[in-house]
Amino acid sequence: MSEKSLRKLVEQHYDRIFRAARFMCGDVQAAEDLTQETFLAAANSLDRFEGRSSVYTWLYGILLNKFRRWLRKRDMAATSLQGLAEADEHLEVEDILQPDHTDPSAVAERRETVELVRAAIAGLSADHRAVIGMRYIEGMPYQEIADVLECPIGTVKSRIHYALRKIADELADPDEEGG
Amino acid sequence: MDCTEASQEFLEALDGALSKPDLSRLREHLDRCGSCRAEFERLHKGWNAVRIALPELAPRERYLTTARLERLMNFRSGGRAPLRLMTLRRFVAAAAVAIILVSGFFIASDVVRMWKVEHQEPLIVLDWLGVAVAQDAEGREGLEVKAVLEDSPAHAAGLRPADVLLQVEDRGVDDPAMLAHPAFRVGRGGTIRLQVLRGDRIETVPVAVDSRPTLLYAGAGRPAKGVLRLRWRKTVGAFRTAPAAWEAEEVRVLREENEGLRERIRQLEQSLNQPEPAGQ
Repeated sequence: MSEKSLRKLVEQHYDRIFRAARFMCGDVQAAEDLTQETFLAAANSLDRFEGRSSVYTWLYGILLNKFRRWLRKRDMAATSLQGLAEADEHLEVEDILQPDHTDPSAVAERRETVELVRAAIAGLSADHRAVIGMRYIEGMPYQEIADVLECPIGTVKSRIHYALRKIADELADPDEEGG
Repeated sequence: MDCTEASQEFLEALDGALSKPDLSRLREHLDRCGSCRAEFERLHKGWNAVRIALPELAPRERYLTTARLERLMNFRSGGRAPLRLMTLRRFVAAAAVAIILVSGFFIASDVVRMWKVEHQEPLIVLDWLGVAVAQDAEGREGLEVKAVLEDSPAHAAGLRPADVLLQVEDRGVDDPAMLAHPAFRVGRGGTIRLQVLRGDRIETVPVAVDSRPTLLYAGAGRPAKGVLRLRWRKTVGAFRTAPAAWEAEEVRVLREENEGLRERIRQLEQSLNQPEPAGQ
């Protein structure tokens, strides 16, 4: 792959892939590394991409493999939780102050929700995190997600189902509802 | 509708993707079935939380900064982890045939590269010629030769640092990208004429171009002193990388060569020390 076409590929898809990576690993630095690895791997295997999926789906599939490997390396949930907690430093109070959330208690509640979801997601497996990201960040159709994961569409749905339920459980956990 | 059917429609219902009749059938079921209702409410809660939290957990931003792009591109061309020569060679063997068949100078068009060395001066490396040049800071005509690569066509033609390249094949060199062009036209084993300003004299210098695409690698170099410690290798591919990586690569190659020489010496010594086998 020529430098020029790689550059073009990067320019077109970097933001989305980075956002997905950031969501999955909850850490900006790791997200950058994963994104970089994804594009380099894509550049090296372009000949294996034959347009049976969209370029984006293909890239997402590569990212997912990189992410799985990254997770294995990082010894799963405990470390990931920590990673997600560390990512919090990027979250400024201003970020939460949405126009329709000026009520302080609503802001606090919203913030709490964000934290709980963050924690719940950190406890999910790689594939469950990925499906949530693909479905609710990227708005990818179930079929496309199934293509990335190379699994039946039913599996995709049951994973999303499971992940949403886990997140709901996290919100309902009385230990977490302090303030 | 039974519980299994209902649960299969939960996600679509959350997505707002159910048709009206389907939705009312689902609602009917939920009114009748307490456990399905509880499950659906649970999912709805999770779904709602996800929708609130995701914009913050994964904000839509411009993530591709120039620094990130450059890091990636640099990595690609060997910046942080230089391509291992052995892997490269295997690739090169196949690519060489293809590239030379397609065009002796396939690489050349891709070869004019901007290269920042330690003192931050943008250098243009013309690897088909074997020079690194820079545009005049004051906007004067021509490209000043900053470095000549050892054993390169430019080296053989006697180009020296401080020469100013005015024309290549009777064409001005204001557009560095154009410099790839003459080499392309000349093809393999041709000669191109350079017009060079040397001191206050303008000279025409013929340069025999070994048109084989060449792999360059450089030591960290001392560009400020004029000559980059570059080696000219007759192999395929051209890649650019950061000085530190060049250096590491050069060390590795030199080591390899050194080991080869040691081995050769060892063999020669062995054969010297071995007495002639008698009676054979």
